[in-house]
Amino acid sequence: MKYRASSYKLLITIGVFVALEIISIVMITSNSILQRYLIMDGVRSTQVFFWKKSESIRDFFTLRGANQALQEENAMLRAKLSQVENYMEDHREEIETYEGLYDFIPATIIKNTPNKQHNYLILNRGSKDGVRTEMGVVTHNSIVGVVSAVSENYCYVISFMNKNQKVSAMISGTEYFGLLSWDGHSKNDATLSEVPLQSMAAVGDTVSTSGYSTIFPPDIPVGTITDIKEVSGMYKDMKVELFQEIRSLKYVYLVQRHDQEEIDALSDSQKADKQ
Amino acid sequence: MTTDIKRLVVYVVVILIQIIAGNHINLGPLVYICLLPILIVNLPLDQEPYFSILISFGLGLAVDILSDGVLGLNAGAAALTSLVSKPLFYPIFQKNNYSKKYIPPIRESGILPHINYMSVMLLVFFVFYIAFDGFTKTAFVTSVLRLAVNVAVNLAMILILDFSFFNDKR
Repeated sequence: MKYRASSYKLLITIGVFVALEIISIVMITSNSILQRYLIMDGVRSTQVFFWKKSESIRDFFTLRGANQALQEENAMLRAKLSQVENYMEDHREEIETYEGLYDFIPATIIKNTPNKQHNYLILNRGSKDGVRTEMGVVTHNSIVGVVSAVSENYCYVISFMNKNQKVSAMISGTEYFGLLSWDGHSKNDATLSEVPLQSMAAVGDTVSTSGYSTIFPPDIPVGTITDIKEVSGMYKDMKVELFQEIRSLKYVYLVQRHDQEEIDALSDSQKADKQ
Repeated sequence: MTTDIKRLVVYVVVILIQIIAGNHINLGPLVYICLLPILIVNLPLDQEPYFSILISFGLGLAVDILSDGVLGLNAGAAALTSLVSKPLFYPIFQKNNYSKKYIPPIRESGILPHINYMSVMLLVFFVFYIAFDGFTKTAFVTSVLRLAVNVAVNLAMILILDFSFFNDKR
């Protein structure tokens, strides 16, 4: 009798354990869809409320540093603007073709998880500001991530510091490009992989966005090459030190091509034709 | 204050420390501060194991929801840790005839059994945590490094908490 009672207890324990593990694994594996759209919808709204409060306290204490960084960026942008104005004067006809190709929406990061393997950010811009999924997030010298989900007032961004995120990037001044991804553990190192063997890149060269995807504009400088190694005699992998640490960012820009809908429609129609 | 109320207060304080540490202390992508194992091993030994597993799962889920983690990650790891906590307690502590209500404090058993026990608990916890947080074959070395670093860092923190909060005479 005693043996039977202890067997029941053991069965109950194993049953409870298995049920709870199944629940937790379902929650984990559903993280990207279920968590985002169902369970986390309510939880995130509450979290965002508290994050905003704690961020505003933090902002108060970091305001001076943020102002200084913005002033420096402003000065740099003014210098660039002056250069661009001169360039435009000389190449007016050529430039008119690309003018106004991208929309930029300024945004503030209200949540940033810099210390995980699958990092994400939450920005204070949502569908009412014109934000849509698949928009890129950048600064003047970094790629920050890609918008993955949008609510009315906020958007959820898969950070570049996420092991699943890969961005097309090229060695500035050349036509050689590869896939830029975070190395998974450094604060501001990334890997530019699968660069053709014949590329003549050297340590110290700048890496910038290629513009071959429609998510990020071309020619945003993101970092410099610090190491190059040949992989299996097939291509080169390059270690890139990023110009900007994503964890220290506060202000970013959401970016989208004007003609994104036209490109998507064309792409969809091609897929439909193939089916 | 009775021992049980004291314990409840300590549990709330440790959970708060865990949430604040998880959200505001940034030690890089390799390190995740996790104090849950100290709470799991200090659950009463004489209660039904399934009840301990349920409580551990609840504690983990609370941390998942209140911090910015992946929902279910701490909860699943906590349930697994709770499952093995009692079976592993006896081989490590059995040679002494202690009361079975709670694990003996450091002042009674000495620090070595606690280091052994907490290390194993942390290892179990982080094997689950890292496996489901993003283990891939290509990131094997990083995952092993994460496991080692997390066990070491959290062992130090947990021993400090163990000594500070759970060292009273039982």
